[in-house]
Amino acid sequence: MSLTLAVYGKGGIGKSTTSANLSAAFALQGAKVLQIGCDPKHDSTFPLTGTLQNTVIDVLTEVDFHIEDVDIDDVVKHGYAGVDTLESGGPPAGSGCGGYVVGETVKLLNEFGLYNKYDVIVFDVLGDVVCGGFSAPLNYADFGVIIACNDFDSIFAANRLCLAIKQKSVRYKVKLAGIIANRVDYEYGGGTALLDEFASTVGTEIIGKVPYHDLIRRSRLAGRTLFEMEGPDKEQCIAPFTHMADYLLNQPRSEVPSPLGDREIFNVIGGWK
Amino acid sequence: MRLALWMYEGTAHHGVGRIANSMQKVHAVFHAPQGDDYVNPIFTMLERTPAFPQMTTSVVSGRDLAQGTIRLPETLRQVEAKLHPDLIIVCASCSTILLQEDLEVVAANAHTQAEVLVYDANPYRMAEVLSADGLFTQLTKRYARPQPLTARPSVNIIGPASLGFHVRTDLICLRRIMQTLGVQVNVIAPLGASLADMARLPAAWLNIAPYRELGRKAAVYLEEQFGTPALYDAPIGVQPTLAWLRRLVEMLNDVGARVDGPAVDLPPLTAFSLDGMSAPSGVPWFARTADMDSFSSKNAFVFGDATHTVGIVKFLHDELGMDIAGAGTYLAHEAGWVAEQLVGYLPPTADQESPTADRTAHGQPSSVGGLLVTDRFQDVAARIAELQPSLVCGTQMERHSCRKLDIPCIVIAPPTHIENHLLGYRPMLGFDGADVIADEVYTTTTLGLEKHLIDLFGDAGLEYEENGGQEIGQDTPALDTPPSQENAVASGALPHPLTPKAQTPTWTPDAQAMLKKVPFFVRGRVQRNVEKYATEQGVSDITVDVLQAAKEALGG
Repeated sequence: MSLTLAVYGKGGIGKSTTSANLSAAFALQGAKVLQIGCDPKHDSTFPLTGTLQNTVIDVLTEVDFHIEDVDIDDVVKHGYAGVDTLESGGPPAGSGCGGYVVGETVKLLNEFGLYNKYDVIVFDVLGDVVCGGFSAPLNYADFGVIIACNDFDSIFAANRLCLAIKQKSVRYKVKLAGIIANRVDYEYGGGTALLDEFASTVGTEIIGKVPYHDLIRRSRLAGRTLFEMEGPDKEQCIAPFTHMADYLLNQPRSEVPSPLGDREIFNVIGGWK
Repeated sequence: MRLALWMYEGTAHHGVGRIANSMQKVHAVFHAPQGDDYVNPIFTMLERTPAFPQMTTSVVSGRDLAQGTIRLPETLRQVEAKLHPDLIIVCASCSTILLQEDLEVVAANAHTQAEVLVYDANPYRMAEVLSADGLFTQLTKRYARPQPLTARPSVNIIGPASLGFHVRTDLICLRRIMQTLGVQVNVIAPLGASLADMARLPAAWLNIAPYRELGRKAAVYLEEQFGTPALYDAPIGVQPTLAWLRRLVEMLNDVGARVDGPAVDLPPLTAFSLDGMSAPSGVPWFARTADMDSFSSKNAFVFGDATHTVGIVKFLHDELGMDIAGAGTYLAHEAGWVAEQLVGYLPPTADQESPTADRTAHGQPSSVGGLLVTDRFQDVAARIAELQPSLVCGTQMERHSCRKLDIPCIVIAPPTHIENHLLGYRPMLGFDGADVIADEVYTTTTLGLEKHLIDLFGDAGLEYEENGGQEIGQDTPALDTPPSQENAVASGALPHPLTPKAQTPTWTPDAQAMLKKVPFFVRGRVQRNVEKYATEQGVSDITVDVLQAAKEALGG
């Protein structure tokens, strides 16, 4: 069974690290996985390959933008645990159109017939759905997954992502599979209380809680997945990914979310704990 | 924005192209993807002028979006090297404006000798007319220089532009009038104007800005800035032209008195006729002839831009004595002015009871003082179908709609078609324009004897193009043609070319002779109607009696 996920979340929330570890967990369970970085910053697949790989735009530049000369092997690289990786790339910050590049990449993969060749495809998309291009992965995804922390800003962003998924679900099959709670700080009592409240309000659930742990930060610096790291609490850090991979591969519950209005969320969140 | 089969107005950058292509040594550069260069061939296809259209597309490709590169400075340098324009006007198309690039800075990087003007035509806020008028006003403000008035009485003619509706012949007409009055034409703009001409605009005694859509704002600016009075009316029809002439002479003489210049006299009106001895227009006499009598009971629906809609409604009503069934415009921003001009001309607001009247949301037709305001041709066609007028004066799209509705239609407003760029003299303005429009109405509308026959036999037998071929195949050969083989094959029957179709009744010789007395242009229709009647009655031979009975039954 093929499974296509689109991972979204506020900037800096840990989308790439989380996506890469989730992809690795899928692969370790025997799935053939492709992770697609849909961010002009093109650092999504860094933990899987240990390098900043050539992007689709880099490859197109080499063939003078003759798209018919692009070979799929030029753009797909191979990373940890057999995960295939691809980066859309994009124009230098402040020029061109990043959304155009993401939208074109997603269409290009369709032309290559890539969506049928994998058990799992993970789109790692940038922070927020700011234009049509950045919502293109939702046209292909079975499920949207939102990464958030137990704070107002990331919940506010998560709510807006719920709006985007709800909008897309009118014409596409996509639904929301759930929220991944990242940087859950058990030591200082951070917990997930706000996130729990938000999830039940919009009609979804928290599908995994990733601890706030130094091992994860170091894995990112090292350009490796958690599975390749050594250190105390490794099992505790890996466990949520293994659990989520297992859960998502076995027909997870999913909903079209019922997001709050942008102003409404300001009013209700104060009453949450 | 909405995908449409037909747009009354072009996009904003099309408006920019119209201004650039009108002027001398001015070139437009569109920062646009390949598809948006469709505006360039419109000029070659329709106007068919000897020169290339003065516009170039600086193509934006996927690569530019992906890498943040931009071709524009190179395009500007190429345009300068090849064409040496005095001014290059840069504008983004609908697609590229989404990129929110600062084209001022990019264009400055080209370091061209030619002046470069980046025109901020936002296609999400304006279409062709506002964009063209806005650009022309901006150019007027940029180039007009204070200077003394010409020694002799003079005018600028402001508003004629590339792809304008009959503007070249309007210009001929206006120039002839000025020549007859002994008034010098200082500058015509934008059509044919160089930047130096634009600078000379304030030398004229008076500005003539007959088109509501283009040039009026520039004339207002010149009036405010340089005190040049302006005549804004459009001389459409005989009486409006007369009034316009008197006002023109009066205004020029006001200036003359102020600057102590020579006076202008209105010569005898025969001086304005082409032969120099007749009345300047045949319309007033023609309107009183028996021919025109058949117009008095006829009604017309008029739809177009602002200038022509107002002018034509008044002309049809005031000078040809027709009733006005309704009117409308696609220029929503001019709807208020048009409605105000047409107070008393439009039928009492019947359409306020119609279901479309209160739909005022974006893209829906609305009603301003009984005026139909919409940019959807389907709304206009529906209104025409509902009113069933004897004549429609509209755009090319209404001509098309009216073919389907079988209603006579003449084209009186832009957007233009090749047929509006003919070589001959077909002005809309002045005495000559009145003659042209009256002829057009007369030759298009069904009249007198023709009308009587149509009432008798259904219609004039003049089928339109859609089924014209069939018409020729069946009707032009006389009565004894065997049924066509194609028909038999097409209907699935075995081809028996020599066996007449069983249903077709035969005509007796005397009935045939009588049929031949029917005028040729309705004969085919009469023949078919009588045959249909005979078949319905189960009669196999059409005799004189059957023909008479058919005539009775068909309303004769």
